[in-house]
Amino acid sequence: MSDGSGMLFRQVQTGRVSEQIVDRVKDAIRRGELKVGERLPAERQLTEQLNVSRVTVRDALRILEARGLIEIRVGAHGGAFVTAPAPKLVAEGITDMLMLSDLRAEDVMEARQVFELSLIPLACERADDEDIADLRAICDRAEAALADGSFDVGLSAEFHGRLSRATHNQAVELMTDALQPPMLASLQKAYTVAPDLGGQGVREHREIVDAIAERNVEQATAIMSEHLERAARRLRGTGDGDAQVERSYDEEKGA
Amino acid sequence: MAELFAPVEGGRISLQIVQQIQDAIRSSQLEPGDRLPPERDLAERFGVSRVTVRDALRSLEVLGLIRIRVGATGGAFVTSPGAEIVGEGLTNLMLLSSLEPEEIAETRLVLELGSVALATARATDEEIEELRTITNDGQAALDQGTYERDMSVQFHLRLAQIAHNNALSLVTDSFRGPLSMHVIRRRESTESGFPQTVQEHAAIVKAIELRDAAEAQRKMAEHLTRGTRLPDDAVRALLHER
Repeated sequence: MSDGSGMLFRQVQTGRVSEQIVDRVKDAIRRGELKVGERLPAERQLTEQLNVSRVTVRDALRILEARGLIEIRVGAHGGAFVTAPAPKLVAEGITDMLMLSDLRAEDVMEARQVFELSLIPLACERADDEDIADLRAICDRAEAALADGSFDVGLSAEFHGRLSRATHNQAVELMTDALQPPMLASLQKAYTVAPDLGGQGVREHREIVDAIAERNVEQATAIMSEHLERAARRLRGTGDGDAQVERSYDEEKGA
Repeated sequence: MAELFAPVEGGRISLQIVQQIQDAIRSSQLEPGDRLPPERDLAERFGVSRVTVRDALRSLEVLGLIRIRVGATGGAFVTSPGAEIVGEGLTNLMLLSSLEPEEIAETRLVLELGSVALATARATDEEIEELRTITNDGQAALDQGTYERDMSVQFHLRLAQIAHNNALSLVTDSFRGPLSMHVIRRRESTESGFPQTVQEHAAIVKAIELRDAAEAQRKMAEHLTRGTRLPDDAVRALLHER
């Protein structure tokens, strides 16, 4: 778009016209003709260049804005500016999908289990000193919070989020973030019922960090597996995570 | 719903309306299937014009949170964003390179490995038979030169269903969508990889048949990393101990 010429947007005629305009803009971004921070031509100009109605142009801008590709600023220096969509936007979309689709709570929980377990090898391969130090600092804070009674599940969520960042893969991180909110409410409930359970969780967190620091995939996977399974069991049960819940879980599994 | 929405003012007004409706949905005050009040009512409640309300509804539609139906029983209904919308979001993240294709591919790999392990544990005999049929049909199509990428997609979709976890398959779908593997494959064109694809699918099915989850994961990892630009350390890590 740097030259501001009309060549970028040729006339559109048929189909879902506003979607076509969206695709045009995306193509222009892909080809580097439009860059982050640059302004799209004014609505009126787009209308003329593309030979479409103003309603159609507005609709296209609305789509681009909702997808986080442009930001519409009002005022004298306003207009539609290209922005990089925030990963958070997609994480929220995944959360919405999981919370609003007709899914069983156990399946969402299991999806989280499967995902967090499967990312352990990547974390073991890539965790650097800073990752390990940060994870240990979270464990320190959690222990202090347990001691003075201020522990809450936010600290557990923080640990799991930070652990996923040790994979140095933003998409993995995004996925972990997306899976947290569906779990938090239930975990909160579980901790309220049995506050003493925090202690074991924090101990396991520390063991997981130690195993990752030693690049011991097997060990880290084994502890994480037990850790997540216990949380899942607690959510499945109605009681306090002790013998009674264990038993009902075993019965459920036909053991 | 009378107290659900408050009048908005200043800034990008339609975005504030989007936010309020999003909050109502995320806090379960509005649930999938619920119909939003008519445009006119919303305009009154928010204290804005109908055009502004329409803008907000369009944004929510793009986000996949509402579906607008026309006609006598029409209106704006709360719905759930599907895998396609999430996939579109991931594609857009790649577009402005805040996310690399390799990162998405790696994440997909993590999800598929988890899912193939569940499938190995849970597949019924009929489902295994069905997977075998899919790969046999694939081989036949290959012999006749009619194999298409979509057949490979079908295999992965069916496999995800066999894991018997809809949450996992939904998420995996959204990571599979934006990134047909050839984007990150080097060397081969899509077509030249087909024979190998079919062979690899068959190897995965064989491992599932033997109820060997570790082997199924190994075959899946080999399949998904073949000829890709995935970082070596990822391939090594994900194949490690499996």
